[in-house]
Amino acid sequence: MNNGLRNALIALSLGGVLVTSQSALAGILVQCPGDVDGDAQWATPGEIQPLNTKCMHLGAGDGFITMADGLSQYIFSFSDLTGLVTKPANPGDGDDVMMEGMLGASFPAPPIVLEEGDEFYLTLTNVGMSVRPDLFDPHTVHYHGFPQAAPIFDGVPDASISINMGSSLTYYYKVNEPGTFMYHCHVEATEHMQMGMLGNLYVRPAQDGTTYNYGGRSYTRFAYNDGDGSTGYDVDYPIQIGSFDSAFHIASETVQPLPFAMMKDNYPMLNGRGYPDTVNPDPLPAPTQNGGKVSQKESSLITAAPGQRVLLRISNLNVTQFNTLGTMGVPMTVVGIDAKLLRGPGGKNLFYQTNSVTLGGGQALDAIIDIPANAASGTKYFLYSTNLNHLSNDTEQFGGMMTEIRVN
Amino acid sequence: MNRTSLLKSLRIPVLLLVAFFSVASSSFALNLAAVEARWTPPDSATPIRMWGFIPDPGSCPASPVAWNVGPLQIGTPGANLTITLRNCLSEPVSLVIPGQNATLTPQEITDGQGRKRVRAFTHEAPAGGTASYTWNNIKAGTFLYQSGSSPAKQVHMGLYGALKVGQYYEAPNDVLLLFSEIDPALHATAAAATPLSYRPKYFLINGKTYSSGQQIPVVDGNSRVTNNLLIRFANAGLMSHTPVLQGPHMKIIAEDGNRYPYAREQYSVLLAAGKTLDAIWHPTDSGNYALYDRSLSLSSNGAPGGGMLVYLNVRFPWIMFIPAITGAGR
Amino acid sequence: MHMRVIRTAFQVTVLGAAFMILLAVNAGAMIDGISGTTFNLAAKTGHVSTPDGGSYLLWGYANGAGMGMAQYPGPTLIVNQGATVQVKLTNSLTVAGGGAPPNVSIVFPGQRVTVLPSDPGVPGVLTNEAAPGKTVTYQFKADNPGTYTYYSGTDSALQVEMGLFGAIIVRPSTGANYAYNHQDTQFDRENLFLLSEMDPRIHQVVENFGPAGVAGTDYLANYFPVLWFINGRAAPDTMSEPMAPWLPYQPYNCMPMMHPGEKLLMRVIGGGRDLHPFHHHGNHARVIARDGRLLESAPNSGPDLSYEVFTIQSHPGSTIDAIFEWTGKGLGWDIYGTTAAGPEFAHDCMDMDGDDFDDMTHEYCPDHNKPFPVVLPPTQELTLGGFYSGSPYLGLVSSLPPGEGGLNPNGGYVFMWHSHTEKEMVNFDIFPGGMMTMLIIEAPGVMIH
Repeated sequence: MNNGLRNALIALSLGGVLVTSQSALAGILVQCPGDVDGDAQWATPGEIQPLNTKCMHLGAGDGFITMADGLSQYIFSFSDLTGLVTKPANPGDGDDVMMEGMLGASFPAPPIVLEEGDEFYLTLTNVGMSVRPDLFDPHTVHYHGFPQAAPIFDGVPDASISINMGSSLTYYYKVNEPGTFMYHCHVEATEHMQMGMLGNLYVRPAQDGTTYNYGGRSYTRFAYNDGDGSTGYDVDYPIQIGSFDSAFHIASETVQPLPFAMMKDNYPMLNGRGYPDTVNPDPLPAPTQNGGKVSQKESSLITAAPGQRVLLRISNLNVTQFNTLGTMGVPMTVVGIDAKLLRGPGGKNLFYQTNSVTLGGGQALDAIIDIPANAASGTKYFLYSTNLNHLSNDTEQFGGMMTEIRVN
Repeated sequence: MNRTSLLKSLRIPVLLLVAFFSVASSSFALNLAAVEARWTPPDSATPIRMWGFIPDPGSCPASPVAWNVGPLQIGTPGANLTITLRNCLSEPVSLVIPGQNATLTPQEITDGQGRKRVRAFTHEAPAGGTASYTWNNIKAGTFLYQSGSSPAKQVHMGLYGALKVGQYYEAPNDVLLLFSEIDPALHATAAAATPLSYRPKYFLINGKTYSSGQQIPVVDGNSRVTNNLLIRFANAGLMSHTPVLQGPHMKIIAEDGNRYPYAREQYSVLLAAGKTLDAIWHPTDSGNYALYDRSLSLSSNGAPGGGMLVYLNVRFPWIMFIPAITGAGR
Repeated sequence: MHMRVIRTAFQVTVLGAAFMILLAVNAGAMIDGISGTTFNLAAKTGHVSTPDGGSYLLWGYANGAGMGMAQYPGPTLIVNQGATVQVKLTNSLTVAGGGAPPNVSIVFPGQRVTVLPSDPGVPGVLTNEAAPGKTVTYQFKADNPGTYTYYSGTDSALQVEMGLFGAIIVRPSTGANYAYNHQDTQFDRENLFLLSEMDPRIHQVVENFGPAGVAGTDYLANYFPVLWFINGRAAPDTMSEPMAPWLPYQPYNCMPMMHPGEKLLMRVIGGGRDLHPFHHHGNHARVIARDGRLLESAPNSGPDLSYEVFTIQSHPGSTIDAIFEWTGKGLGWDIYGTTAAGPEFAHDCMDMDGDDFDDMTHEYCPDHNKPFPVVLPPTQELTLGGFYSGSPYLGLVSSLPPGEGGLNPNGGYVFMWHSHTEKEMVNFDIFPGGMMTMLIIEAPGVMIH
């Protein structure tokens, strides 16, 4: 029997609430050890990057992207404000973080790439919703899957804190384990995640830089600390599964009631694009509605040479459904699930080969594709949704959740 | 753990993979035709327009044939498989086997923005024409073959079938359970189909759907108590399903023709869209065992009590000599 | 000013005594249900309440043909390994529209079931059934320990949706605080997560027109749920007390609580028809079993094929057992605060056995007295959660403005456990709700009831 919450409420009423004085407003405040001018970098003379320290400055707000069939879509997401000076030596000399951040949301959110052992300081500045000034939504960053989390830095607003408009909150996490994770805002999760506050996040292992021979080849980069090179790879690609319900985005843009119950996604995507935009290696052209800010930087085109091993860091931040991603022409070897090397506690190897993987939202998986050594240059394989009805951009066929694996 | 012992442990799955019956490298050829077909649902006399694969009759049928899943193709591990496809439909059709390694020759179109899009995963048989497909050194296991052209449309129109390659030494008998779905609304106007509105109403195993009050389909793998039965699952539908074998557990041993390093003992298994799975079951009693979709695709055109349900028949070893009782036992 | 709830002034002996008490408490079952070898269930009607004010017709299994009320989900049957279990089912369903009530039944996946010759019911498609007003008695031997499910084998697409499903726990012969017969499956606490969803259109049609009305719709094929449940409740009701009088047909809650260093067994069951990605914030969990079978390479090898996840993929009709632990290892700062922050934060980290953890509190000693790494913004720049204690430290409650916080008076660490198909975290159009609850990790000295 478990009367925890009820007892907790009683205890609270007995304990009372104690109030202390508040300090002054801090506003935009980047916290990054060794960084003097508040740009979350150590580029300025005199700044020294402490050992194993990484910093990043993200803005949270709104913006626009373009779907593969040409539809413009209003989004909420994050912008990368790293490199903008927030604490100038002379007052007034700093970069205008708000101007850069407003309507600066990109989809997917800027990738976060870390190394095992990093102490990671991420400052989140809430730049507000330019298109929806009636909204005063706070935001958070939830590092999805980071082991041994603490609520203060877990980004669940109900369980801790979220940051209001015009202010900054700095998240700290000591990165102890490698793997493929993901991140997203957890405020009003159904809404903010459907609106696009989702991004790739992965951690390279400490084993990187050492050399292991595996399968007749030597590798210096690995998915995990495998001790034998079995997760060695030549090139890696983050692939984030997602999809949008355009009706929800339109309702948000036009200040209509949000259709939570009727939510049904009609734009299946990889890394924020539907096919054939997935295979465009460049950032997509900036939409006009956000003042010309490039908002779709992540390609999903996979290229490799014959005989190379390709690591796919697959994550799913779909808000409405499971997805099955398959390969056509070559199999995958699954070597990790949910940011853990796929081995039993006693070391039993649980790697398995397959032609498709099924992930729900919040699941991640590492799969290695061995490009055949005799594959001719120009050969194409495919990574595509085996839920074949997802091979479309709304009603447009030959689109949706698909990309190409090109042999160069 | 030192590296030597780790490498040894890695070798175990490799040993398992070759534990099939003897492999003879050879070539074999099969002939299929993609044709207009009709499927009459159990609750209606109005047939639904389908496209289907049939054994190539040598020329295109004059009128639509009765639809069924494509004929079961049987291959030998390590052999080179060639399938010649005659296209009797009015649009190009192709053939892919997602679980078999292949060199693909994708067919592209250029859209209004100048972007190239793959319309077909590989080369096609034009309307009225033929094309030939070869897979070298084919893998053992259970596979789907299906159209690789306009796949969102052509697969749900019915262009799919199963291929089995080799036999597992543990199981002398096998059954194939090919799951699929039909959304009649998309079939009426196949050319204008909008795939995301896919809402299937008929849920089939091996091209049949159980309808409440009618006889439940019995799948007879000549299965005997004391013998292992290999259940080959394949899902040509666009949605995932969750087959449950009611009562006993199975050992799931492979997916997409890839043997797992360790079998997974389960009474249910996720059968995702496009997935094939091999399971070994050791029955201990005779009788009919229900196998059904726990994702509850257990309706037929909206009516409860139908859909993805079959009986697996298991007999005592001696019953094979008494045909009359065998018949009654079904 | 801080209100220190636990820990700092505790002598080791006091803590030790507290832990003795906790261990004694832990020995009992945490999961609500009915135990024994003989069960009398009845299929009855009732109503499921949702936090948005909805009320939906329920067909549920009740504990007893007499006074027992329909339950969503049905009673959790808790049996011991080796027992011969008899489940007698009485069909007490009534339907609208004057038509005959349907037959009902129970299937027990993973069990070898027979019907009692003295009460065989009538033959059905998946199993024998109870005709309206009649009974059937099933029997099976609980040979294998683990987590199982039961549900209606009659028109399952409709009857499971209407609520006819439940959980079975078979306790191993090794002991009640083991999931299976292996030491690596020992746990300190356990919770059931029986996941389901509901398409209210189906319930409304059955309530108004009886089950025959469903055949005239495409709802069973074109299924579109808008309500989601854990143990039959939608959030925030998941966190209300069990047997709450305002939820008469939904007696079970889902309120996982634990201390650092304890093992919490998650028994996750797909009760409905959809896949659910169940994301447990805080840490990975080790999946040790599926469908009542330990993930082992050979008998008695223990869960040597187990694997760790941060999201449990739940399949309909299947069961997953996973063990969750949390210590805060390697966070890089002291979760109990440092003496530099104030004398009230003084505490020891005593690691006599050399495992890097305090022998009593499971504090990770290498991080002991490391300062909190950043400065938090002033309160007025923050939106504060109801479970926020006002402090980043475990077991510490700090000042909050009036009306803020309040749900976490012991300063526990609170993590959301929920479906990561975030659409399933709503009750109709209202967020938050649905398939969601909170894990509370209480400081070591806080009693958990």
